[in-house]
Amino acid sequence: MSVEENVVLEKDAAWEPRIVAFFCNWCSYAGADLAGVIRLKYPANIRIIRIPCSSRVNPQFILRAFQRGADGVLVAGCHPGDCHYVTGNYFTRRRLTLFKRLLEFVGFEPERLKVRWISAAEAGRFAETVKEMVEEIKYLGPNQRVREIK
Amino acid sequence: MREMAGILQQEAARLLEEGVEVFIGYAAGSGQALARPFFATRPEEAANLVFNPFCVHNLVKYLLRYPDRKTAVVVKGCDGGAVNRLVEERHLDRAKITLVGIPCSGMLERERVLAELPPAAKVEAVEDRGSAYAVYTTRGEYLFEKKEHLMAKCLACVRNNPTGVDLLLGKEAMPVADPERDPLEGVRKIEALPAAEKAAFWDRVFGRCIRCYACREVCPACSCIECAFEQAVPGWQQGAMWVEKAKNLPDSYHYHLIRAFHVAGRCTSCAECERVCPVRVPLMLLNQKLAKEIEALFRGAPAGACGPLCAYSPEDPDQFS
Repeated sequence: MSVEENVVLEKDAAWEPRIVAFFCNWCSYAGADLAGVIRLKYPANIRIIRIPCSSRVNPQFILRAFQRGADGVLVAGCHPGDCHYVTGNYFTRRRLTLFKRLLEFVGFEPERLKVRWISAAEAGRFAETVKEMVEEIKYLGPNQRVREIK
Repeated sequence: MREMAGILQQEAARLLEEGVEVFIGYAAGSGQALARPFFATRPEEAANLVFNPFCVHNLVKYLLRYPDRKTAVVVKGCDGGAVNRLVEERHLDRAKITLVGIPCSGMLERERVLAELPPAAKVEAVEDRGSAYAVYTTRGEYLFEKKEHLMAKCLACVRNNPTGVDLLLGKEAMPVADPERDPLEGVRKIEALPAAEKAAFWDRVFGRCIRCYACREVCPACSCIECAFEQAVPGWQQGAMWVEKAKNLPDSYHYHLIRAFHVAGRCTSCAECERVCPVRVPLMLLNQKLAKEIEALFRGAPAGACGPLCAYSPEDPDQFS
């Protein structure tokens, strides 16, 4: 999709938010997969990137996603205590709690970055999270913070 | 201040004779109301050392130039923490370093001093009079009230006397902090703004950043051998860069947020980043905000060698479930 196309789309009433999602391989990605297998409906605004563990998410990934046109970023991993690598998501929890507050401090709407724990069995929770996030971001409109205009 | 220079020179000469290879301190600078870092390697060079309220630099980062040599460095209360930081992160060997602590009653903000001194006046001596500094110049005596002329960080300082040093020179300094003043006032002001106004404020602030990276170069916590904002492979075989070389607002956001986040929990609030900034980006607002949140979220919880973000506790607050 070219940049010009995006601009046209955003002016359009039919603008759809784009959400970049970082899902951990062991829980959340499998949860999203399950949602597909059991044919749950969820909005198609989400682009999932599979990562080995939620602690793989460098805060730079989040910023870069916003820079390149994401309207929201969703990070999901195993529930604390269930990490495939034992402690990974505990670090994620500290890191992203803090990073979210930093983003809010520089003027991001808190709804733009969401972190959720989604296990491999929680297909419903995955679908709910995506629905909820798409609704919130539709209400906020396209993200303009730190967005690169080229 | 005179007698302090005397004690300092004497101790430095003694240390250099006793086997210290480099003594890092301050010498008179080339300009008005200015000091500069000074590296003495021979006992006779110690005579150049000074200490006055213009010695604003944090000298600790210079130790990274001499990781294998026996060094001594002059530290104020606010600089001391940086040594522990670098030692804990195994950049430096504490056994090779002699910390020479000097009690400090606040550093003068150079711009505010220059605004009142006539350009031809050469500073000859400075005397601490408790609530003010008396500056004797070739054009007479000037009095600088501390409440109005100190650097912002000094007005909230509770570390006037260095701790954990090997050698403490001079008399204990009286605190200069104003108890009425809220050190986090700036942070709270911005927190109270709605998102759109916060955005406008930071757009303005980061918009003037020229990305000279002085804040990174001077920071004792920014000590990675390879920086995320440099090319891992310089030259034509360029790797992907996180930020472009050209100045643009989104990349300035990226740089500043990641810089602040990278030193989160490791920042020793020496405020050097803010001092060296040529366009006056209020970097300490970001650092203080992170320190404040860390205190609120992870207070009393375990912290690793590189701060609270290198550790975890199952009892940490969870806002994501």
